[in-house]
Amino acid sequence: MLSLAHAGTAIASAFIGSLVEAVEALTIVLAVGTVRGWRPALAGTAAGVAFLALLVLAFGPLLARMPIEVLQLAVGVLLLLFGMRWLRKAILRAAGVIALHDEAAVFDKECAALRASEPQRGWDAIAVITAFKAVVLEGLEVVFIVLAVGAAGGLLLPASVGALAACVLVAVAGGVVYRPLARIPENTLKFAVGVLLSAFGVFWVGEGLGFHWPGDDLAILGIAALFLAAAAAAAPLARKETVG
Amino acid sequence: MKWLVSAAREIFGLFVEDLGFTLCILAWVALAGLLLRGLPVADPWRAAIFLAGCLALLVENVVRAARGRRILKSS
Repeated sequence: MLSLAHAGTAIASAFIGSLVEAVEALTIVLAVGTVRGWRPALAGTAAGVAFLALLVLAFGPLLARMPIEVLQLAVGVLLLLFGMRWLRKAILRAAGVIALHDEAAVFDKECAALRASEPQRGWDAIAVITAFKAVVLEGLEVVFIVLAVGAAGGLLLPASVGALAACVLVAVAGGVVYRPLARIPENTLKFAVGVLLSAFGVFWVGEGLGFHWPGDDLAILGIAALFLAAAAAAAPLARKETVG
Repeated sequence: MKWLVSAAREIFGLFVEDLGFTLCILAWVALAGLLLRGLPVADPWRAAIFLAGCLALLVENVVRAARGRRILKSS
């Protein structure tokens, strides 16, 4: 039976992680649409979504055939690397060691690059490829988050619902405000997702290695709380190192 | 071709930003698989030791990265 804590954590991780990626993809698609027109922007976006759907259809069933211990360990290791990389970056940004991500600056830079190249007659290949590339690259992260969070625990459906809700929300918000969603607290979201994905990673690696977690699935919440505490302690330590 | 190389680089970048950090995590997972399973301790302790190692790696790497930035700034 699905644990509510496990399913809820999977939905939250997929939703927040996908929100961050969708905002980044939206910035590029908006830049393409603003500078080169909406036909190539939407064509590139549609092609990117179709390509991602094909990838999921091709590789999704393969995961179901893998032995569960191998799947837990493989997914756990990838989640651990992905989640701890996000968390490390979010801590360093929160501590002021590296600069915060600026969607408005990314939008301006992308617009300038698109203006610098000549629009082509007929299909504007550069514009289509720019939108396609943004959707595929950011979408790959969404697909990875959904598969990694959902595959090992039989939670693909809740994780997919979380990711889809985030993508729809960002698309609607982008259509309404018609500019990059620069006011989204990107680093706070990355911090939260880093904590959750790292917790999933540790949990699945432990399961894959045959360790027993007290409380079974509920242990994920405890692991996440400890990651949060460690990350919250690391940020002031890092800040002190840069000034001291 | 250039696009494929940049896509491959982006996918690699999903998991690896600081190579040393990535290698430390992989080494800790390997160590846990080889040594922790054989340790004569009660079962929940193996999981707890594994988690503690991951937390220690994270904090140590963040502090080291911040110190590295300071040295870079002052040089």
